Amino acid sequence: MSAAVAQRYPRYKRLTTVGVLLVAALWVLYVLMRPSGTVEGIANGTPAPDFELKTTDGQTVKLSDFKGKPVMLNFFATWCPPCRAEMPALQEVYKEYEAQGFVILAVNLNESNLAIQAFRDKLGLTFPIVIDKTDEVSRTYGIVPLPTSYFVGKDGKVVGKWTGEISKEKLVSYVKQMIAQ
Amino acid sequence: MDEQVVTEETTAPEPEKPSKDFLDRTWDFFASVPVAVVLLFIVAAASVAGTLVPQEGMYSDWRTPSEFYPFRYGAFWGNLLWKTGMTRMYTSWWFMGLLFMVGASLIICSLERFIPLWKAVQRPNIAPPSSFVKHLKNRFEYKPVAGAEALAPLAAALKSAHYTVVQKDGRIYADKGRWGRWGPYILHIGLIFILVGAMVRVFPGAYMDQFIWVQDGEIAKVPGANWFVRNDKFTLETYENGQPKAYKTQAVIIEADGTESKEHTISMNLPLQHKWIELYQSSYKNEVGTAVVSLTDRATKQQIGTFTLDLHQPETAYKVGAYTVKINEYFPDFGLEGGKPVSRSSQVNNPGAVLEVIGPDGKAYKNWYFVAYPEMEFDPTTPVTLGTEEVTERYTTGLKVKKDLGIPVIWFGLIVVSLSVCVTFYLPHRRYWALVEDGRVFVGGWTNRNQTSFGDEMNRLANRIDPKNNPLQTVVEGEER
Repeated sequence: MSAAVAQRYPRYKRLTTVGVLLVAALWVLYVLMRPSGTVEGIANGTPAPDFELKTTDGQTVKLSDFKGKPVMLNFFATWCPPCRAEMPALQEVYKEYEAQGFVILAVNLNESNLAIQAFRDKLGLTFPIVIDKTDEVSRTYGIVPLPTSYFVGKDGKVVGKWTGEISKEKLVSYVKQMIAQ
Repeated sequence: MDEQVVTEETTAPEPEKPSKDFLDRTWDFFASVPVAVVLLFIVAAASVAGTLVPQEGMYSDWRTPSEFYPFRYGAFWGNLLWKTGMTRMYTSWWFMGLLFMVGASLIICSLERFIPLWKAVQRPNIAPPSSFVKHLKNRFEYKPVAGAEALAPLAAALKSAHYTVVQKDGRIYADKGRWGRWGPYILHIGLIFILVGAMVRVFPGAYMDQFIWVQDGEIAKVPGANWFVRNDKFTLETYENGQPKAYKTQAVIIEADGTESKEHTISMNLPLQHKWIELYQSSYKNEVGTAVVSLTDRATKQQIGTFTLDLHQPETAYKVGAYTVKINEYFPDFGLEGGKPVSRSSQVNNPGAVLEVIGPDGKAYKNWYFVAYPEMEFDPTTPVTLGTEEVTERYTTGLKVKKDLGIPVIWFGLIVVSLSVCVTFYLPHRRYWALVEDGRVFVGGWTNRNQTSFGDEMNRLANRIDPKNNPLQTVVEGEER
């Protein structure tokens, strides 16, 4: 053996080192790539989780009932001032694009039928309103401030999320984008 | 090993000394004890830092993390904390990386020392130089009985003391308690389990920390599970001054198919455990449930009748005898904003309503009605007054939903650690070497722990084989007399 040939560490040491480096690379890659563990809602491009809720009349409505149609999911409460403020715009846009298949499904956060019906009748809302009695749907959708709206395209995937009061122009641009899909 | 590293880093490499490649250097890095100490110190410091910054999901604010931290700490520091993962430290990539490095350091440091030790213990040198045996601290010698096999009595004595005895070429090697040498390495295995337990939570479905509200008598789905929990009754015990003393929830687990599989009263430190998920008593809400409302004729002060108003799900109209009470407007959490009546939330904290009373004559009168303050009328001329006869409370329990599959792994690690401590302290490794020279048998012994007890053992052994030359040295009173 010439002196130029390096005297390496024994095989078990070198194999262990290779193993450690490999697992380290995989580990850091996994931790970096994994979906964020924090609740930030449903990301754009991912399917909107289906749910089944009841209206004030006790009728069952599923999100998947509207498959193939562009849907706006509007999470609201009757006591929240910005929710009330955006409702007239929602109603106007709904009337305008209803014929083209556009649906607004309003999800109320566990209020009494009386409060919802009074709210609906006062503002003249004609789109379906369902009640999330157990907060399960709003938890799934990561709803923090009210109102929050999700836009679900014809393919059932989330197109956009809007927190806070939405303007009529913004709403129309979302609706046009979804109809064009 | 360590010396090599030092010379290599401080002086120019000598020509005949081959330089180490990347793999060997990596091994050296993780095999170094100072590196391990520094890593542990950083992990400890980071863990402390993580308790100082409110972690995501732990702070009580409606803002999302990307909004909350800049709001709380200012734009620069808030974004820095959030972007570097200080706000979800125990799952951040760098903290997980640090834990991994501690694990690698533990494994490599152990191997570096364990492999040579394993060889020394499992393949001992049976025939060391006689000077080694003769100069051991614990030693004795004896004169074998003429004509008999010189080493036979020693071998027999060691065997009866449960030693593993090897006899070869006129030599004896015997030892027991080899496991006593593995104590530190078992400890390291336990520590690695604890590290793995801390890292498990980054895998999907292994960790959850959520919160649910369940009203009395209601059923709620447990997040992250396919079963439900029903709150049969929430009870609040208070001290005389009104301070809460204890809260508990009588809970029932309902499986997806509707069967009730478990009943348990959840209270402080007594969570309900079901399928790796734990439900902890964490909070409660107290709201007005129902109110019995009375109608009284204002002029005659005669009560007309009563009705029960469910304040969580009021009807639009109630019949009281010949009278009808309609609810025109309802504010569960009454307040005034800009002079206008509003409900501040959907919680039934201060219920108020505009009621329309229609008499038998068909005439309708509107008036405000507050459950807690029925005397607050806005129109004192209506023929009928409204009163509150009875109010029931309705409790909502707040349950923390926790899941951490790392916990059993950490417990297992702790058991291994305590086993290793027992092994290290109560299982000494004892070794004997013996050889025959000049018609005498020289016996030397070594132990890694509890020298005094080993000395006693050896003295008794020597005394048994050759009492004449080896008198008992330390005799406890009353023993061996």
